[in-house]
Amino acid sequence: MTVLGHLSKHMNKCTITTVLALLTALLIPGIAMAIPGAGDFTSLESPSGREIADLYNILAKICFVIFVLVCAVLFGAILRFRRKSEDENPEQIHGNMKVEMGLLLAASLIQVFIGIKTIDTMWYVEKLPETKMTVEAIAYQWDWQFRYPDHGGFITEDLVIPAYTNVKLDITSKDVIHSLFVPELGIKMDAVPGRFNYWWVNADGPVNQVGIEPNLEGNTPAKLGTTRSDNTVIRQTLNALSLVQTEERHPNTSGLEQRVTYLAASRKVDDKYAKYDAVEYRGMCTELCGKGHYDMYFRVVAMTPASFAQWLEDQKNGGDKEVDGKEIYDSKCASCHGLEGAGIAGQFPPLAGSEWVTEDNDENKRRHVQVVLEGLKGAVTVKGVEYNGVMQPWFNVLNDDEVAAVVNHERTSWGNAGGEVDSKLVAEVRESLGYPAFSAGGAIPVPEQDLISEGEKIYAACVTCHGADGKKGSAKLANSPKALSDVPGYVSMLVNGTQAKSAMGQSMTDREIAAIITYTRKSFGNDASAVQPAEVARIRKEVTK
Amino acid sequence: MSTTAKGYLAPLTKEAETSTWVYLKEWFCSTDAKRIGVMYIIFSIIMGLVGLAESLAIRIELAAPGPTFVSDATYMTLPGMHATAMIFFFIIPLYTGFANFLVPIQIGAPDMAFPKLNLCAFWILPPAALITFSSVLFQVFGVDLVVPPDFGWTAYPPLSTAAYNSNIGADLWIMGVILVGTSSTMGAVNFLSTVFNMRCKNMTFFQLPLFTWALVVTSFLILASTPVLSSAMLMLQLERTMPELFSFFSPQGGGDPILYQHLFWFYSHPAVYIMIMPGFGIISEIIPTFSRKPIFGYSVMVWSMIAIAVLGFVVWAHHMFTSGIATEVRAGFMFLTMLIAVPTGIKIFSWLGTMWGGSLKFDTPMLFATGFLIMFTIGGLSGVTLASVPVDIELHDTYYVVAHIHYVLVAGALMTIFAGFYFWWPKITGLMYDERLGRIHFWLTTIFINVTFFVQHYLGVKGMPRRYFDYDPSFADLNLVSSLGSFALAAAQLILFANIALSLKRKVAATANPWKDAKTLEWALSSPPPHHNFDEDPVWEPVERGHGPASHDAHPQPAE
Repeated sequence: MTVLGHLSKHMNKCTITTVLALLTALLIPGIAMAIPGAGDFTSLESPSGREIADLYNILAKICFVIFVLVCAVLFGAILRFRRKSEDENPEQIHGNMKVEMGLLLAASLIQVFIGIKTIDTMWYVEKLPETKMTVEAIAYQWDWQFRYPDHGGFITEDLVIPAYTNVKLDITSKDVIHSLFVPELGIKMDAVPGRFNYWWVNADGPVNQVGIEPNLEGNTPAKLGTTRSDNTVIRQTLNALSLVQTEERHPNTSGLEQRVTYLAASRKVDDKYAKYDAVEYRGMCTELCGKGHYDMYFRVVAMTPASFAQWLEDQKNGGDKEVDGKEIYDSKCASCHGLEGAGIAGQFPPLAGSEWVTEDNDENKRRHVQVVLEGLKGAVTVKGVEYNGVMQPWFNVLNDDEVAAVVNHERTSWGNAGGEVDSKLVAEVRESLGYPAFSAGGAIPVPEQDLISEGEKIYAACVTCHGADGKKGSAKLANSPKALSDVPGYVSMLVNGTQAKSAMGQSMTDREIAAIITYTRKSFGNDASAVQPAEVARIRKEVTK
Repeated sequence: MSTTAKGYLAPLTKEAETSTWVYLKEWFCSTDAKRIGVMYIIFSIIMGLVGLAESLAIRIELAAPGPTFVSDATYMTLPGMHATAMIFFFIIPLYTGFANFLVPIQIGAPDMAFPKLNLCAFWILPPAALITFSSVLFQVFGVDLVVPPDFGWTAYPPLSTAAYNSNIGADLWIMGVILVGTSSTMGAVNFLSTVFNMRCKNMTFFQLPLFTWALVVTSFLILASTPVLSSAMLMLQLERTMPELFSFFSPQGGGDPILYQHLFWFYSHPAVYIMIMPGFGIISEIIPTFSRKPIFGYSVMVWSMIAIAVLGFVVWAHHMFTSGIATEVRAGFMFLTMLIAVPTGIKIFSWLGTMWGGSLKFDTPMLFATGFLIMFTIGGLSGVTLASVPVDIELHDTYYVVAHIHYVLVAGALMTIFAGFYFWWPKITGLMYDERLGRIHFWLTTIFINVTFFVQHYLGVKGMPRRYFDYDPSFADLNLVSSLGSFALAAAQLILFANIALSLKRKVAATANPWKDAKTLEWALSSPPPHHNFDEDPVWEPVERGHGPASHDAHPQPAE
């Protein structure tokens, strides 16, 4: 071989070294994942989450081995079979049936193994165990409500559960599809409007956390500082790149900034849960649901049984919490009406200076309270400008004190001087609108005609099976003994479902169930008495147990 | 126009030789599959740049937590429009472009079966792109009249119904997607007619080059799945336009939002294979060429493609593991999903088997093919992980999924596109490219794909959901890494364009078969090929397609 040949061979080695070096660099992230802890799953705070993490670890190992094998063969080929001379002519092999079939078999066996392993875990993770209580998680654009049907149906904005207890979650949505995700507990389930999806959770409680959070030993500060890292330089640079100034586009910081104290996987409980023995997990939305998708964080607070009982008690008595109108406004109203009450052009009217909230007379006050309680739909004119948006009703979210506080905040801030209301007035308006007193069952009967017309609308979803005349197939409603004489059975069937019928009524409010029952009892030639929402509430409590 | 242009690039009339406009008109109205193919490729590259710009905007916003670059309302439109550009207007038409150029030649045909249909299919695309992306133009110029939809590329109702997305931008998007579907259905019919009816003498089905086989399988996929997407889109449009009359998906009217997901994924899962199968074909052409060895296990390669296609139709629900469908149903879908990994794995092993014992030469196309092999394996393995239901429940809609899809489509499909681009560039233009720039392009692309997307696995495992405008600050560092990687990745693509410019300027003529060992029919033609491909009907010299070592004297050459 000539000197040149030697040199080119040497060069070849150089290239090989480079190739190897670079490919190893690519392998590093892969190897990093295999180091215990580095790529660890986050779902480690519940028994089913730990099962998932175990399964993932097995899968990750299998995948890593396969990846290493592929790399080994490939690098082996690269090193051994590089072209050494231009006229090289390797043996023309077209295949090897034995090797190919062997690989096919091996690959299938691995997949079947993974499949069986998975199904094993799946049945454990998904089969609903015996649960102690149920919480309804109701998503909407863009937040969550958690309803406690076993405890009078009050509603909270955080998911508070007893630790080490099986809790069933009934998950639904009021508008578009959302998805409930708590990474640390290994739960994720879509919130689909029109149906209830269920999941269950058994969260680790405070006991497990001792030593993990050394900060817990001392005094927990009343308000924890932000965990947001200091990226000001990057943020300013990016802002400078942007055509519009951040301040103009974002008059207020995102909700995330306000809630950031309990992000970053911090398990500290602060402010309103500080007095309970509890830990918390981050909850969020994982299904694209529009503009505020990223801002649907909620807390999952897992309490010791004693603390949980105390918390339930506090919920029923309103706790010792001072109602703060501004706080409620900022968290519930500001996303549409703006922190400064400026509204959004075309959709959400301003509150600052609006004639709807500034006239200091009883009629104006009552109308204001009414709008907050029952929401608003359709075009309205404020300060001479037309707006057309949808405001959700708050009668089942805020109690009388809270409504009064938020109404007063709106009537006295931003230069408004509309005079104050008190909770008595709110209670009166609530009653006049036919809403049940918060948060117990309703007291004033709903007019029969209202129930029938509401029921008629709901029945549109039932037509496919029951027919427009209620006489279709085996699911006849006309002259049905159940519809006519067995109200508890009827409610139970709607709420729990039967073999042939899904639990259509599970996602409905008591009033909706009352409406649909009343409608069917009054239609198709049936003539039975109307059923009131309060009655449904009572029966529901019994039959869901 | 340039009188130096040769082959199919040469002007057809005297007029076109002097006037650029006439020459361009000649191209725009050409029914020559090669010219249409080139137009497809140019169009896709332009749309790819649109998609790239959208993705860069996403990565700028996510470089640091908190509001930085755009508003949250604008941000929510970016992921969907990025995906739309990349899937419907970049990868799928780009492969169609390669296929238009190559499939007729590879089977020894003068043109496609329906040349006018072919031209029509192409010309549907630019207006479709204009319709779909007009809203982005409005957005860029700050006009609020038309805004792009913010429901992602999946357009799940009720978010995509008029109640939550009333802007006309959403209607335009739906219309654009239906048009693209029409175009690719026309293309698929055409490819199938061509391959089934116009193969030259001796070109039996099990003699077909694997790229052509890949296109046959892809065309079947398109033909069977695209109508389902179009009907889902039509149903959605009806519901948007006449909410009083139609409510297929809105629960208020008795509809079911999950129904849409079934319809959508019945198309969009096979679409994943539509976006990678031609890439498999490209790799199956390149690796034997640069290994000086025939493909290892030809028939297994063909059958595995068919198996992937068939299985691809029965796994759609694995995109819906958290939507609340029954455990037993999901277990079934999971098993089928995992089975897909078997034929895919077989393909990877066959490519390795082709390289093993060969005489490997690492020119740019082979470098990209090798890079594809490794990184696509990562994408495949993360796919197996995601198929496992309980693990998917934790990882669904997190950045792990984003990482997975980008390992399949960027480290997979895009790498095969680059490989094919360098491989056939001399054939398409008749010019050689700069090998050194090609290699630099490969290394930078490969490294920064991993920098950009690998860390996203980690973000997903740690619980960062996708399509988030703002995120938990504990994810800040990795997001910054990913953003920097994406900028570098985008910058690396400038080298590709520099290489193209340099190649067009230097005009180093390519021989008919610059890779020497390429065996398919296009390499028997001059570079670039003449207007009607073959002067006389070619006869294919059958190639040994069996298993086991071939006899040494059987060294089949394509017929001239």
